[in-house]
Amino acid sequence: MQTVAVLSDANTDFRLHKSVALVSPTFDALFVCGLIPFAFGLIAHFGIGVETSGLKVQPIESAFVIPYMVASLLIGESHQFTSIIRYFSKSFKAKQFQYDRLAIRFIYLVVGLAFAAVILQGLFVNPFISVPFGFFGLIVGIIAAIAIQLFPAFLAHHVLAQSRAIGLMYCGKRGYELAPRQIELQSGLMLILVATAATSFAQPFTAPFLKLTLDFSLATQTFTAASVALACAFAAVTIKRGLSTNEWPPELACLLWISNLLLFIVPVEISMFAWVFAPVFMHATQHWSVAWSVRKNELAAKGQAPVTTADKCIQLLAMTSPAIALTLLVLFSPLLISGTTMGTNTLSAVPSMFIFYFHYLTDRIVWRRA
Amino acid sequence: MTEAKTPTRSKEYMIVFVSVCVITMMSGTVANAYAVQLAVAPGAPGELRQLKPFSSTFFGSTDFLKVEPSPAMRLPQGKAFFSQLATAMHSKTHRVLWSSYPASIRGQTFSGITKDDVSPLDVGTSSAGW
Repeated sequence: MQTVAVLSDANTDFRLHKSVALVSPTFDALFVCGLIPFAFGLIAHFGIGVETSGLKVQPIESAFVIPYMVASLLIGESHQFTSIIRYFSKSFKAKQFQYDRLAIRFIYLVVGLAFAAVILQGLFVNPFISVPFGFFGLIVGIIAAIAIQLFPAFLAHHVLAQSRAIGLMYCGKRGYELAPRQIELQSGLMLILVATAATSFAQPFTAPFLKLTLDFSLATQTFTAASVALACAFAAVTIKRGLSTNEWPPELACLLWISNLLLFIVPVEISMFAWVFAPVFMHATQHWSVAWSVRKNELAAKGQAPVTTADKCIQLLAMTSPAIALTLLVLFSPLLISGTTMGTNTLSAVPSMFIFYFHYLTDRIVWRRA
Repeated sequence: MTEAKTPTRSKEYMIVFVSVCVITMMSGTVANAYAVQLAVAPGAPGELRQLKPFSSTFFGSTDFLKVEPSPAMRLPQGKAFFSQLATAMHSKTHRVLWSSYPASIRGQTFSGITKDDVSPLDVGTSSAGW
């Protein structure tokens, strides 16, 4: 949902709704605007109490890890497939979203080459020795490697862009259009916040052989100061407009903006407990909420809006279950073939990054007004 | 109105049915493949019976697997979870976003839980040295 015009392509007038919430005001405040990650973070820090002194880094042994991992898988990772499924269920005109679709084709190419390499690896000793495949594969591999190195920065941008788009949805539902100055300030603030993240808690992966931990502390401080300045400027412009015209942004949008700002500018030693929960209970739930809201509006446009609880349950299951099934199939299908557990990198990093990029690009397309 | 709803509903029932079948099958496969890791995570010692489908008989056979969690934690479950999480994140603050990424959590639980030399929330990148 990284677009300014994040709206259903069904011709639904959001202003007909009384509330600006995607699901309900309480649900949105908790799971879309970021109260849950902060609440859980505070409980973890002050309620449960945390001891870091004397502990060495080691795998977590706790019953908590199971529900946490299951939630990460079923809510967190599966949300990525919502936009992917929607992308494949839509048709596009030739020039629509052509750059994003070109990038998606590049992902097809990378995945195709990866499969070809795996197959050739089985047939020959080393497929990259073969000149045509090797040269082409090398170029694609270099670009893919850069994309993987920059993955954390793209992730930070994705988180912020989605929140920004949802903030604009809230404003649109209330009939509050951001002024050009507000849009400029918000765009600038988003880029500076991404830079803040990329120099602090979302630093690019360094090449394995370098084993570098880069020191960006001065850059982080500079970007943080710039973020605060831009946020203050945005607040000042918004308040000035409110006082002069009595036009105020919705409370949920304000809450969302503030929670995102705090997540990105508060020193990571403090904010990390909120970050533990933010990907699942803020970012992923945001996405599911938008998907649900759009689905409801599209059904309403067809005169098939779910009315009864049973109807709503079926619609909810029809929306979530294919994404969850696809998540499990894509990520764990090697288990069906090999019958053994998969290696760390196979299981975790690289396939997930490709799925993320696919989601990142499809997200830019599928929620836009056609 | 009712006539228009019927085909949509039957299509949705079919989608849900197929998806639930796939989810059930895959959940069973994953739980079976990672039974040891999933048992080690809460620190439960003992023996596990792991299904080996299609191995010796039509329905498969079972293997007994001994679960030996490392004797590290004496803290309550919640405190252990957050303390170890915090320790891992403190050790690499420049990786906090990746550490909280679902794939990293999954990798930690499934792949890294039994390896003493693996940083918990850095599994997936640790073996590559990132």
